[in-house]
Amino acid sequence: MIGPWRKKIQDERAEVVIVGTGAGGATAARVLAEKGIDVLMLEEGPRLHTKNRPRDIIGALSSAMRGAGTQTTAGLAPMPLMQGSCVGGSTAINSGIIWRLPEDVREDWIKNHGLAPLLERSEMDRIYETIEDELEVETTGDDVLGGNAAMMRRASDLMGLPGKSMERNAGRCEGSSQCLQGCPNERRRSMDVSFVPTAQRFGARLQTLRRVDRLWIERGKVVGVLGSVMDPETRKPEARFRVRAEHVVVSAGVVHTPGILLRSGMRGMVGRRFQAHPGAAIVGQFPEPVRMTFGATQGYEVPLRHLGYKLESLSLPPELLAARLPGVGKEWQKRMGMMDHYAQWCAQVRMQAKGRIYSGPGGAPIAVYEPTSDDLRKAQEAMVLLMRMMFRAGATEVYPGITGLPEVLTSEAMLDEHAHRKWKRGAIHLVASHLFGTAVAGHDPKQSVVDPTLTSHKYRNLSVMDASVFPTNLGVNPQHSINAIVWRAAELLADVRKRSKAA
Amino acid sequence: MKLTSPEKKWIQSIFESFAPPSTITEEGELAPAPGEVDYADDFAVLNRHATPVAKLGLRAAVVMIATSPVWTGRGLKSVNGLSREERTELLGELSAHSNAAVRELTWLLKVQTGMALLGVDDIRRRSRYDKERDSGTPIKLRIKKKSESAK
Ligand SMILES: Cc1cc2nc3c(=O)[nH]c(=O)nc-3n(C[C@H](O)[C@H](O)[C@H](O)COP(=O)(O)OP(=O)(O)OC[C@H]3O[C@@H](n4cnc5c(N)ncnc54)[C@H](O)[C@@H]3O)c2cc1C
Ligand code: SF4
Repeated sequence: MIGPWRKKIQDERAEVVIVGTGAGGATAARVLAEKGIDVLMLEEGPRLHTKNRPRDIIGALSSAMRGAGTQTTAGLAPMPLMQGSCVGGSTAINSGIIWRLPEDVREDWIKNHGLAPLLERSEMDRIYETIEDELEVETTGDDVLGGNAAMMRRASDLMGLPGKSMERNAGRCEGSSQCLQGCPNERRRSMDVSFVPTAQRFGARLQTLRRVDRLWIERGKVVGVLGSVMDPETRKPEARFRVRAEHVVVSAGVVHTPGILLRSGMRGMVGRRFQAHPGAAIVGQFPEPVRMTFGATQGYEVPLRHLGYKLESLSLPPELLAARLPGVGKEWQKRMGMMDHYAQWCAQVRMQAKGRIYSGPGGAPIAVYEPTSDDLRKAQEAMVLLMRMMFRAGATEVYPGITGLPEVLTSEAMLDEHAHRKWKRGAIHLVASHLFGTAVAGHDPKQSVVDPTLTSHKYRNLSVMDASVFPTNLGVNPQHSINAIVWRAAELLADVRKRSKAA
Repeated sequence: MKLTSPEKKWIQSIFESFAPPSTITEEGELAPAPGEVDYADDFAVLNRHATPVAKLGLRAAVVMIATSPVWTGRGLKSVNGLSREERTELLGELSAHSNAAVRELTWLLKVQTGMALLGVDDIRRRSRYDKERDSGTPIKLRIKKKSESAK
């Protein structure tokens, strides 16, 4: 992980250096730069210009995702951990689903973690409104819902479920169903096309292909960051750099923020309380065309938070859909010959499991995470409901993708035969893209890494501003909560800096 | 680490056997033309960007399947020693194997096959994925609920 130091050191200076340009880092940069602070953003990945982003899935995964989408938890049943690795971070590949922080979570964080300074209701409302305005948050229109979401809506209506069209930060969505590959006309306002350029307009600087390896600590004080300049082709370190700064903000995401802190010698709660909303997906074949090719990548949802999960429509590009179709040889080829007849829906489960990020060989982070048996029960319940919905909507074949179940289910009766038996651990192919914890915020330094203003308990000129500060998971999509909480923390940091400058 | 020449040959023959190429295809079936997909090249791209653990997994999957004729009782030969029909049958067997690791590694290569296959523009077109894209949402948005139709 810590690369070979070959060429000479590149030196930079900034008042505030921000590591990572995802939901957290970009928001911090946007707010601090507007307040007149000299900000330098450092991003490990490249800046992918919308028009030039690869449209094929191999190109898209290799250019924008960490490990081309192959980052996983450690262990015998590895779970993929999806994260973006380019300007915009995971927002550059996400579906733009927007949810405000649920009220019960806000109250829990105030009561049990002391986060009142961040979460005052009127301040939060003001910030949500500003963000929703700047990121063009709208309900997905019927005209761009697409067949996949419309089919889910049909099922939800028929079964009397509380389904709804999603709120997304893509008010002018054209339904091109390519959020993962990057919105072709910048309709989805991911950080790379919104807060990062806004921060730059306010004077912030951006350096890409700069991987921060550790904090630069001198005489017990953080004085900046040390890192590697990455080769754009090989993504391997080709030189080193260092940035001297008065304040360091780490926003490298839930896996890599603790990686940086651990490599810098920080311990205690660093890496602990790693949480997620792992999910899995079901594919169904319908007699009429569904056409995932058109529509919002994700447009319709059935939030069942009280049960611990949320169901979502999720269109797949054909390259990924193919692997979800059963069979090899002729059987597979027949199914691939009718790619316009499939729907895919997924469940995101609010799991109670708590994992941990460790420092592995060379300081590379290793994620350990194991769902509890109750988590698996919830996942099974959610998957069964999804399959039932598919049949009710008219699917002729449903592909559970679950070990121990037939590859193809053809009726609800067949589903019922398998629904009540407990599925084994590892049977469900879980994937996690909503990650939390690992540098949690709280008032008690023994139980948290940063205080309620997101400033490190240990180093007062170090902040963490990304999803790693969340003390618990949410049960809803996290981007908006990250944006809003970081916005507030950055405002508080700007006030502190102003006061210290005046003094 | 670069792919060795036997690995490239194994990759091409394993991946081709998931979806055998053909010049004549049955109605509605998606088959690449011979030589239409460069599986080894696409495998190399992903392998280059994968995490170290995933790289190991991908290479292990290739070696496991390549040598599977030996441990599935098909004799002392690699997959390249089987006919294409035999290879496809073998992949079907491995996909449903009682050992989870065998199943998962086989599936990993099926994922790669799908990515490479549908990554070819002309094959994607033939898959009908983008058929009538411009006509928008094909599903009727408003359906009559039971309570409404009873009125
Ligand atoms: C496929 C996918 C779909 C999703 N869909 C939704 C959705 O629809 N709605 C929603 O609310 N949420 C969604 N999410 C989750 C959401 O995008 C993330 O929770 C959010 O972006 C996390 O913000 P973050 O700032 O913590 O990290 P990230 O956004 O991941 O940003 C971290 C950044 O830090 C950079 N970085 C890492 N290490 C270093 C280093 N050492 N040096 C320099 N830079 C570094 C990374 O390259 C990255 O750019 C989705 C996520 C994924 C992966
Ligand atoms: S569905 Fe298409 S147009 Fe809409 S936000 Fe996603 S990529 Fe952009």
